[in-house]
Amino acid sequence: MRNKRREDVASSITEDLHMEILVRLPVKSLIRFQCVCKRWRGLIRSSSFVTAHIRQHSHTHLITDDRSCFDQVELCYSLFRCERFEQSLELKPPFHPQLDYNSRLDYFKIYGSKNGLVCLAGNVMDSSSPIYIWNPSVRKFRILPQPRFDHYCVDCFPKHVDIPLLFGFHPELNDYKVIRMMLPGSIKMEVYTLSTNSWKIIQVIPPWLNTMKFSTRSEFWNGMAYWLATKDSMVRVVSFDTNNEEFEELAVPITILSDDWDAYIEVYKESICLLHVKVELDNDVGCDCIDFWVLQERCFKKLHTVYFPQVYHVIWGFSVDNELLLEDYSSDGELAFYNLESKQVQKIRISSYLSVHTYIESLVLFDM
Amino acid sequence: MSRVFKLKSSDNETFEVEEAAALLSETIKSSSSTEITVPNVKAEILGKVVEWCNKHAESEDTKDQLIKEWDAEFVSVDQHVLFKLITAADYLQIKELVDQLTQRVGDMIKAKTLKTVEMTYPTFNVEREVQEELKSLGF
Repeated sequence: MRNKRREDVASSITEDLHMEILVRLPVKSLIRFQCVCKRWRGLIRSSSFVTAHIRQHSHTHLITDDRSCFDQVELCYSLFRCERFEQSLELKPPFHPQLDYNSRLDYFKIYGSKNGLVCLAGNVMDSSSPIYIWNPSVRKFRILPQPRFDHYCVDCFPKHVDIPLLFGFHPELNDYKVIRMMLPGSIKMEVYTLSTNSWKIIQVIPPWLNTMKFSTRSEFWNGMAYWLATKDSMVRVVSFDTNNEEFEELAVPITILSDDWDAYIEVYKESICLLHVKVELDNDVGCDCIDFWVLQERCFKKLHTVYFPQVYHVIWGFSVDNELLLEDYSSDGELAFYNLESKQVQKIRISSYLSVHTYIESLVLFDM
Repeated sequence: MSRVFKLKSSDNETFEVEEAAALLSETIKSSSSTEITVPNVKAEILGKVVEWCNKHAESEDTKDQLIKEWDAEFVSVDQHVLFKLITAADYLQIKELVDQLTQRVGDMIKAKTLKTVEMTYPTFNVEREVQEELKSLGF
């Protein structure tokens, strides 16, 4: 008799309401509950549910690369959950590039983290070096098919040119892209799309692209790639639209006075922004100030300047709540989240990592 | 002059609700009449929904700690009542109440083992093969 009453109640609510309940559950629970019934299984694996779940769970966690040095023999990562980032969960990747591909781990790093997917690669310039897209929360990964181009340049030795892979999300297509640019010399480019699991060679490379001096900083946002570059002592941002495959040169009114300049491209409040780090050593206590430039209608406008009391900050990007993740290089890599508006600092007790990346939990790739 | 709405339950009981509280419901907002019958919802449940609306209409700041505590108490009910409240709040399209109730169900389910979830949804069959697959992945 009691069972019958329960039966009435739970199945009396609509499909939409089931979704409202399930979408609030963490990934760990959903993985278990997808075998309660076919209906839940289908729902949890559906693209619309995965998207709704991401929206509901946009809390920034952190993932760290825990190797003590780059030539450690095994990959290990840790997940620190928001909001206090205290406990960590050890993440052992289910792939082994050093064993499967005889790939050197010392070049291996995380190139991007978006919607719960992490893109990892080693020697990007070598086409036989594996590239992975991994969702640690659902323990699924994809190894990318081999790209076409290899870096071969007689003139540059040592050969490791550190131009990063770009990894990002294209919201209009609900798809993920990886962009591989081959430098130096005559630029070549390939774009990988997750849904088709294939690379596409970009045929038209405008000649002016070869006159740019590319830095190691880049960002992918809203279907567009952005690289930080310089030309004639002026800062430039090169953009590439993955829809129409067009490149554009965006001017930034910053003059580079010495080789010792530092800037980052990040996404802040859904806009591309450039963070120009300036170190002022006027007083005994050095001072870092960061000029914020925001991309508005294809040109960069200076938003404001933020002052920090110490020097040597490494910027690790913005959280989903638009807080800046900084590492204080001078005090043993202490991390902090800085809110630009309230100017509040949240210190995080994480140390001993090679790199740190913002991360959210999601179900992407779960249906693989 | 604030209007008074009349909400009628499926067992023919009527609740009078002030405009401010009533308009928290999108269904009432878009209704041309001030008398609304809520099908399949008994007085016991409808009364609670009205209570929630009254509380939220009088409190200006919904981020207030007191109202948060009141809300937490409000959703701490038997699962049976919870699902009925969800149906009522959904029919009346009171988004915030639906959010709170579904969050509560989510929190209750989260901690449950598969066996107890099965008991909540007894008409469904659990796929043994999928369970084995998950076990092999370490879940």
